[in-house]
Amino acid sequence: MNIKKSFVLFAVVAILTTGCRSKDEYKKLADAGNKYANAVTTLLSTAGEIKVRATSEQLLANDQISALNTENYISVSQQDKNRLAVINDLITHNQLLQAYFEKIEELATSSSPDQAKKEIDNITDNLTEIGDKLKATEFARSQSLIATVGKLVIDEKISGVLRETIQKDNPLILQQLHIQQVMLNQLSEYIQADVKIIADLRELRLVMKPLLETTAISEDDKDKWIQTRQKILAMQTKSAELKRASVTLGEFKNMYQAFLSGKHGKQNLNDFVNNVNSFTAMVDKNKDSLIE
Amino acid sequence: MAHSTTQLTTVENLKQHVLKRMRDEQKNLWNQAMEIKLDNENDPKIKNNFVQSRIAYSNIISSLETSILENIALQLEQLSPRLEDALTDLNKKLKNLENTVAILNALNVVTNLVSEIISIFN
Repeated sequence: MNIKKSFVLFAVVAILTTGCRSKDEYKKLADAGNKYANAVTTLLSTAGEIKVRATSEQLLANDQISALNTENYISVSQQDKNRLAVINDLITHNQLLQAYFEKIEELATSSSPDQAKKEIDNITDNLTEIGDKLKATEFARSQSLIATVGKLVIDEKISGVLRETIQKDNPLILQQLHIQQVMLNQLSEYIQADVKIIADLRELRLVMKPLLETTAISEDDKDKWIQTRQKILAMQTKSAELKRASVTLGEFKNMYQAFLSGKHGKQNLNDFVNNVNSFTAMVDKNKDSLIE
Repeated sequence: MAHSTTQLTTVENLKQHVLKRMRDEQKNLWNQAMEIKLDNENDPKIKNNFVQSRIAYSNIISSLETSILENIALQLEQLSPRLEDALTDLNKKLKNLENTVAILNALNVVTNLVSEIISIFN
């Protein structure tokens, strides 16, 4: 069998044995996984910050009614420290998942095909030169085909490796995502409850009390008072948005499962990535107003 | 005797149930109407007792929430060794791909050499 035929046959066999998903689709999945893991870390950090802010407002409110003692402060502060410690643990575990998706992405975007193509090009150039010298013209005709098929074979090899890896690790990753979905639902409840406390106490402290003073709010402070009130009243809406977004984030588990069973394609992953990008932008934009 | 999975699930469910009830009550403890009422209370003993009870109540809620998250962290921690193994395996696969290129590189060196040798003799 001549070189041309055997390369084409090898490529066909490689394509048939490596499954239906292209390298590109695995790259998209890895990208979605990466973005998801990033967003989970963001949510975890935000939850910790909001918790501390809520506790601070409660300490001030309590102190306003009756002077607090050292024991009061220590007992409350210890709760915050315990919370931050467990959030830190959750972030660490999440980073392992992120490392996994980063590796998948590295595999999917491996420069090996391009590097391999370069090597194949060099080899075929050399073979052509040798061929000219030995008058083996069949090698010259096969040069571009070898290079093209070589790259195709490497691409398909990578897809095959990705498919095999993701199928093998599927139960483990799904388990992780399932547990995280439970965690995201819990966190979103905590965040909403803490934001309500912050909003109510801040409204009392920064909006109602200045307004109810016997002296009217000064001209210089009126605009600031209006802005403060605006931000505080918007807090509940923002925390509801955060809650909805957290639930959406948890849907990555279903997306991942559907991708592996062939039910979802690249467009669904694109939509998910867009949702995650919106979530991250929303948290970044609203975090200050939720915790300042 | 170790707790069965069913018992542990029951404990988690209980925590969730208690937490929900306590949070519902907490809304009444921390709303603006309550703050204003306390502000207007004249008896310092009543104020102090209320504040101390409120701190204890909030601390319990906080503990419950944290313990639910700790249980989640424990479940994730149990998966960590397997995830680390998966990462090690992925690294090997990446290395294998790189080795494919290394093999091609070696082949390239050989063909370079052959070409040069032939030049000498031509």
